[in-house]
Amino acid sequence: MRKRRISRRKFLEGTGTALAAVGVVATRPTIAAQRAGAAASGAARTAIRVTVNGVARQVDVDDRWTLAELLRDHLELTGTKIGCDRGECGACTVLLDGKPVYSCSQLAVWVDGRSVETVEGLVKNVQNEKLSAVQQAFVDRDAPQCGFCTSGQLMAAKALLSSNAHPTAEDARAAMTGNLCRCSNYNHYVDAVVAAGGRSAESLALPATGRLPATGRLPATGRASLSGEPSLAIESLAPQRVTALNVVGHATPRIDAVERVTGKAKYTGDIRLPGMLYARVLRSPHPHARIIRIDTSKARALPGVKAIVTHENCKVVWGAGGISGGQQYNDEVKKITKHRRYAFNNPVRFVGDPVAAVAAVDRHTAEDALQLIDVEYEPLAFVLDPEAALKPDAPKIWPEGNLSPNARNELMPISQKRGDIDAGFAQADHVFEDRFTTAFVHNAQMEPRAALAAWQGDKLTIYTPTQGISNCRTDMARDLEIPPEKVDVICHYMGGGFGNKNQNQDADLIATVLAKEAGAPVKLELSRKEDFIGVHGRWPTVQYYKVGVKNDGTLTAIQLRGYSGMGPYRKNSGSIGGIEIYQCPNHDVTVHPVYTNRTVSGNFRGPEFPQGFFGIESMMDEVASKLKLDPVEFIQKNMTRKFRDETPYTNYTLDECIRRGVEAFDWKKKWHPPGAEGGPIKHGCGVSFMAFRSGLGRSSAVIRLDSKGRYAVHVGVTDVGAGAKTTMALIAAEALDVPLSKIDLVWGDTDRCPFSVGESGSRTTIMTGQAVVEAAKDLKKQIAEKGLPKGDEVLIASASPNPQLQGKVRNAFGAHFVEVEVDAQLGGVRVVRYVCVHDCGRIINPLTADSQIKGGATMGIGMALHEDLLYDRRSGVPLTPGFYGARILTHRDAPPIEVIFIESDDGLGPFGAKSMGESSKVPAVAAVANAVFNAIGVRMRDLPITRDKILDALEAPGAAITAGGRS
Amino acid sequence: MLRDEPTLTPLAGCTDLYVALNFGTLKDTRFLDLWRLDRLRKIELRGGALSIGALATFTDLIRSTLVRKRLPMLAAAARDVGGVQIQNRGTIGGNVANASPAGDTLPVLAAADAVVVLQQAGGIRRVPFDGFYTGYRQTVRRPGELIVGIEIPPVRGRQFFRKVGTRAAQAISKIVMAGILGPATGSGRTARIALGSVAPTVVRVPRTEAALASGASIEAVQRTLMEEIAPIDDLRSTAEYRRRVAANLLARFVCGASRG
Ligand SMILES: Cc1cc2nc3c(=O)[nH]c(=O)nc-3n(C[C@H](O)[C@H](O)[C@H](O)COP(=O)(O)OP(=O)(O)OC[C@H]3O[C@@H](n4cnc5c(N)ncnc54)[C@H](O)[C@@H]3O)c2cc1C
Ligand code: FES
Ligand code: FES
Repeated sequence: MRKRRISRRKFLEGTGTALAAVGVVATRPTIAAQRAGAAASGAARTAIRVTVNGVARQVDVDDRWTLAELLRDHLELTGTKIGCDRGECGACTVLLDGKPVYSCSQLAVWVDGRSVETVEGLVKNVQNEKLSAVQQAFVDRDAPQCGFCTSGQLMAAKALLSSNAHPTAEDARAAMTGNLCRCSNYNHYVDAVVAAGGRSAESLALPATGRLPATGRLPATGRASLSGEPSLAIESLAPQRVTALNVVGHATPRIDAVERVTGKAKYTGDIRLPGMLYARVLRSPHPHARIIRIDTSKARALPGVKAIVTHENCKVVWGAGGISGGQQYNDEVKKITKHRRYAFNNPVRFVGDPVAAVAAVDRHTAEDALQLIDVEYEPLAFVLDPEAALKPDAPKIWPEGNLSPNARNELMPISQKRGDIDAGFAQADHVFEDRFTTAFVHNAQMEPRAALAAWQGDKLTIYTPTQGISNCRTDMARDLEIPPEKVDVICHYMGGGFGNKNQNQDADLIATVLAKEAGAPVKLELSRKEDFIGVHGRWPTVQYYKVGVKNDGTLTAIQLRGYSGMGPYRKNSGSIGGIEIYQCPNHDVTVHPVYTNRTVSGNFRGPEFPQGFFGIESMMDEVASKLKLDPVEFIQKNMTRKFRDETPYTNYTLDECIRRGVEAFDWKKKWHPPGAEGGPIKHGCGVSFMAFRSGLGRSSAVIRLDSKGRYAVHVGVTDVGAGAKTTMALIAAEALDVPLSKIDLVWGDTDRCPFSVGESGSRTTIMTGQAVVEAAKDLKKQIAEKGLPKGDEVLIASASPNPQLQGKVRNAFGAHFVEVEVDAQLGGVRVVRYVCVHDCGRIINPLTADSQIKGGATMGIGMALHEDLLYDRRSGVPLTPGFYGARILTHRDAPPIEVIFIESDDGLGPFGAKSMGESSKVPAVAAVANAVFNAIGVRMRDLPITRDKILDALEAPGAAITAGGRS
Repeated sequence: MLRDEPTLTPLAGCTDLYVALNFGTLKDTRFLDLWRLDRLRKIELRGGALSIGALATFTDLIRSTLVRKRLPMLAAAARDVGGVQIQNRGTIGGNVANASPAGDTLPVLAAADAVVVLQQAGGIRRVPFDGFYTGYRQTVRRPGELIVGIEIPPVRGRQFFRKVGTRAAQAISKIVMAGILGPATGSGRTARIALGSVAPTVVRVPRTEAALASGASIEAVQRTLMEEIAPIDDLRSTAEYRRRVAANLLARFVCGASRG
């Protein structure tokens, strides 16, 4: 975005000089004389003395460096992460003279004479790399999921533990609330800190107890976690009882947990190549505008600038960025897609659309160069809301209008019909109608998008955080029009994605074309704000429901007319899911994916479901309430029993999930008719359930056995944070019948790994896991035939199974039960109890599974109550991009989540495992919203359910006075 | 030095300045770094008043036994600021000078009738908190003047502080209230009440305070308050919400509810 403003570099120059100058007043305050026009490479340097992790160092620091930059770029201490670079997330937390500070918001020159401690300094004994107690607790409790927030959490925890050796859970939350975790593993972080303080040692038994006898429950003691919070239970379902296994099913710390708690795990931004340049992207400040002219001459003249690309000299299409029908991208789709998205577009169609990119010798020079690019825009009319965008007089974002075409390029909404909707309404005793809306919520994964591209001749190596290296490779090859073998995609660690790191990204392409142009490796790291507006989030929706029901609660017809705001490019489907979980002979669903001039929408943890479930489950909760029925009874009467009332499920546990939840939550006692409680603090209970796809499909694995008895398992997973590497290793060990310690995992590199489906759609465990099982079978057969390898011999087994289901549908099931406390005077909602019951088939690793479920449910609370990306209606500019603005949950917002697994084995997938990653986010939003309804007796129809909306709903004018303040 | 170059911008914990920088709203280009003026970090009793150095951080306030004893609502306000990392760097002087209507310590200082101590080459002057802010992000601080400290006269009565944000933590206030409820006088009770995020600056509400002193019913006092303030709609909240919640907070405060 073009803004005449003081750049950070100038600012830092000024302040740095300040310290260098001689003190005049009291002690040492000094003047910052701005040094006009310092050359890119010639910024002022100051020699400082600083003790880093106990070692005294003298360093010449550039006056504009932040402490984070000094540590990461110049002292090669990359364990300290940058999640926002502006004091909002805590990923960069280090200890300065023992106190936690945000190293992104400190100048390097400021630490002169002080002592800095980073995650790298935490190990107790550097020689034998013995972990400190808090690190070990993080490993044992599976605190890091993606691990990107972990170093910061560790440093905050360390500071807490040195002033309070035995913190309570509440102490931990207060001390760490400046450290966000978007994987939302707050419960495990808190447990770990409490454990490190040794508060209640016996509950360490939780992960250690591991697998229970197939018939049993987790012993009562094993269920309480260190913080005294209830945690995890696994129950085996009688008819589908699972048999105990040796490795699978035992709570096991991640195989890479040590890397994640020591700062050793190398994320894309941590990698440096010789001669590497740094890139920055100039983005559109307009929601819709034609670029009349771009003048890059001044920027090019800046010393240190090596390449500049714009729509004029880069015509690369970002195929996965805009797809007819929003389907999976492939060659066919590429051919037909009309509304194409380029790496650089003209016209630009949302605030944040890339306009130009610069590669330069350092980040500051690249930033400065952006300021020197002159762009002349002709602003065009814009539209922000999907319904408004379909009005005849709405500004057209594409020549054909704003309804995004389907996979055949027809201008038709998504539609799905069954039975006879009119007949269904005619049979009904009551017909209810309602409208619900959901907001754009950003994936907001802790690691901002980054890419590092390097060409060697005609071969591209791209380091990028991607949820699917295989897809990313084919996408890159397709976009660059080179053979896939000429692309190597590498991703060893990544800091979350939740769906917005599927496929390739424009950042990958931009780094790649800059690298080609400059003839040197180029690293591009998006700022948090750029990530928020330039990388996709969940599509906002408007949902109109009409439901026919009989007096006894039997459904006769469900109609949905929906609108999804896709932004100006169609990345994904834009559909609205959920109706199918109710049995009803007559359905009519019409959903319009609509172009708008907002940030692009796409997949985010259960793409079309959390928002769709909020709509349909709120609607059904409303129907139950109108019929004066307990919502659980209504659900039990109407929930799916066969897929779309036709196809049987491979196994069915929904009734069991609900029964267990009702019992654990004590629903019958807790639930009361909506709004029945007086007084300013109102309690309410909500329920929501889910059935979620858990299909089979193609993926590959290779296992190589050498004469030393090591099994190298090659799988194309990247581990977005869900623990895929560990899951694959556990499955391999089980299938090979060897201890886990014999397995070496080879992952995250397309040149070394076979095709993997990608960590999206909750598919990796099932599909790649099944490939591992098959490859292991093959290897065992080879061993039986040929014996174990000797000397230089190796045995190599591979498998690319593509199992299909015949006449059945495979689903994971679950139900969530939530109790909230609504403050009728201040409008706040506090979740006081949260029980989730899930059937995810066999639980491969109870430890990481617990993290997954808790994370999804916690994110769901955020979506229900807080998250939003607000826009200025007049200018079309997003107003709240960032962790603060979008109100991502903090430690203090995250309640303890209780997880109960109903284990089952339908004989499919690896040892019966079903999908899990997205499951717990899907019903969470609706469950919270329904609990709010139960508390206050007023239906909240628009997400997020903020304090303002609650007061609005509750209070007729003047009602603010009624409660009288006595609580 | 500020005498020679009165246009220099003082810089303390830099937590606000950094944000301004990142949002591109920072106009200044020349700075004066105060952070190492340890002398200005002291919290002490001076002539009966609680004297807090401008560079005292939120952490210093939370840890200070003097503050906790004499002005617990200030410790409460400091605890609600950002996370520990911001508390370790952000200063009370910066909070006051930054003059945000949402600054969390400001209602506390306003209710406590604090005095801002300003220093310049020419000498020291003391400005009552009531007269310190002149408009949105505007103060009587002259170019070249530094805030060196805050003085708070002894406070008698029950103290109250409540910040209402979006999230439970790390939130910019939708509304924030501080109050001191003195002993009953005749029929009513003396009260000093200040609110943040309901006006361009932190405000005291004299009409509401007078209504309380006159012994009016709580409902009547709430009505007075709702008339007295004129909040606006913005990103964080609506005017309507702020008005109602101000009234509800007042009731909680006056009726002694412990629950916030
Ligand atoms: C992530 C984050 C969260 C935050 N949360 C909160 C919150 O919850 N509540 C809240 O109230 N604030 C919050 N803030 C804002 C900020 O931390 C506070 O306002 C803090 O008190 C500012 O102090 P500072 O020392 O960092 O000021 P600086 O940033 O150094 O300075 C702020 C302004 O005051 C001036 N100034 C500073 N000291 C003096 C002085 N002694 N004399 C004259 N002028 C001076 C500076 O020139 C500048 O204009 C937050 C900020 C961030 C980044
Ligand atoms: S707080 Fe420093 S990177 Fe987010
Ligand atoms: S583990 Fe905290 S953000 Fe991923």
